[in-house]
Amino acid sequence: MRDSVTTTSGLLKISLADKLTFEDHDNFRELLKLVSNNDHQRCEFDLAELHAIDSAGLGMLMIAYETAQKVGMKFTLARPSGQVERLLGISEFDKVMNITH
Amino acid sequence: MPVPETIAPQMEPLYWSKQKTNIRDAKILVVDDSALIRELIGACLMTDGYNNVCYAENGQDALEVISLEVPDLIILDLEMPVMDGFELCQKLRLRPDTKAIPILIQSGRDTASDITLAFEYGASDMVIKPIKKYEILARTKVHLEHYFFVQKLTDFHDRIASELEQARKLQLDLCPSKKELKNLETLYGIKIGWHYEPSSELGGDIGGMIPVNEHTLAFYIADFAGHGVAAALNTFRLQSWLYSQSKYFEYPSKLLEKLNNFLFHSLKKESYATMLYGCIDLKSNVLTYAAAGTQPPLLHTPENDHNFSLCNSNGMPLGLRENWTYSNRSLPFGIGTKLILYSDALVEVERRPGEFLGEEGLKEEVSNIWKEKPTPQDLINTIVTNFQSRLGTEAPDDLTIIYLENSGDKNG
Repeated sequence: MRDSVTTTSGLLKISLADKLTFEDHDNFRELLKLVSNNDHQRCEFDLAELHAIDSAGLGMLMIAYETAQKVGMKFTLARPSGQVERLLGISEFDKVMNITH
Repeated sequence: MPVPETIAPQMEPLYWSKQKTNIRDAKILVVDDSALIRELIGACLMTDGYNNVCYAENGQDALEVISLEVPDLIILDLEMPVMDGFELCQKLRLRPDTKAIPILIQSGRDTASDITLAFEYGASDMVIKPIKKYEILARTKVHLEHYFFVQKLTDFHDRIASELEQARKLQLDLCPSKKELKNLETLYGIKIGWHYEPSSELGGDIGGMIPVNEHTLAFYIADFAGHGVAAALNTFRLQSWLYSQSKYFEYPSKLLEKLNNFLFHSLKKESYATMLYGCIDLKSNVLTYAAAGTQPPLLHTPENDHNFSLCNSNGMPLGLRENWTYSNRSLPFGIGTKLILYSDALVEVERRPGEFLGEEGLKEEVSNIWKEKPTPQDLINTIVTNFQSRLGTEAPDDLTIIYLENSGDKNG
């Protein structure tokens, strides 16, 4: 997984690229600290460049959502495609969190 | 030859948890045709606390000593009558019980060709005469520590491998046996094909068949996130829970709701399971199922000619959200209708660089295989062969494939 973080006027934007898998657990934990420590109103995970996700990765996105919810941030998964979009769909994540295309 | 009386402080010997664990208890065999050198080396070792030193005068004599008890280290001279050090070294390296013993050569032969030959014959290390006390003690310590450490690691590895193998057998026992499947086929008039293959010794996939009543057969496929020991233990947890809930066997959505809450409270955060649980009523020929984010099963009806279609299997994976509602979906499951369930590994392989097979790709592939009118097991075998050819160097995930067909020849 590669990631980049930008903040603009109340938005914490975390862009993920390549794959989000079990091996990324520690790196993802660091990103979650940004979410839980941040005083922005919104948090967006941009998945446009994320090509694959495994079951562990899906679990991490749910944790990210719950972390944002705890600190009262609006949470969005943005621009999932391919296998990532398919897995999010099968798992009905859109019934829990905001997913934009 | 002067041997200093004082000995430099040594590191504390290593202690292991089992058997011979203190390197000072190591059995050391000193092989030299000179009684003086044997005594000298023995004295060096004993002043440093080694209390299990034995001696041999030549290679042949050493073999006899070794036949009584294999030592942990051999300090070996090269030039000896009857059998020299080169030959002994060579012989020991060919024997399974002695091939790994550290052999420390001590010799006055110090030409490049002598040294090369000694290492070629299997020496672990070499010190050149005259004997220097500190040098021989330091080398002895290093080789013994290394030897004990590797032995400990090997023992640990072997124990874990053996325990995992036993656990793997237990996990395979969770799958229905061929005999059980055959019985179900006869009782319910259904054809069943089954393939289960864990990625490593243990896996996170589980599947099963549950006879509900005389005309209803339930089935399930589940996949815990990840694989290995933790995921495998969760498969046992799921199965124990499942068999304590017979009152829900006929009600797929209710069963998933109960199971979801059970797993929500018992699984570690981030862990979850995908699952599909269904009941086939062979009297009304209806399939009712509920799904929790598992891969969409492939369905084939006789009217559909060769083409399989994908069933909706959307649903929140189990254990992620408390009190989630699952819905039942029903389909006609008349004679000749077939259903194929599979774990995600099957479609999460690349059919071309950067392009996953996906369920659509699998649907096309299975429809094509079906044109050849294979038996259920041949169909599964071809799917598995294609899967394996796509794996390349990547380690596979657990793979489960279940084939169910209403054959219409129910007995009784």
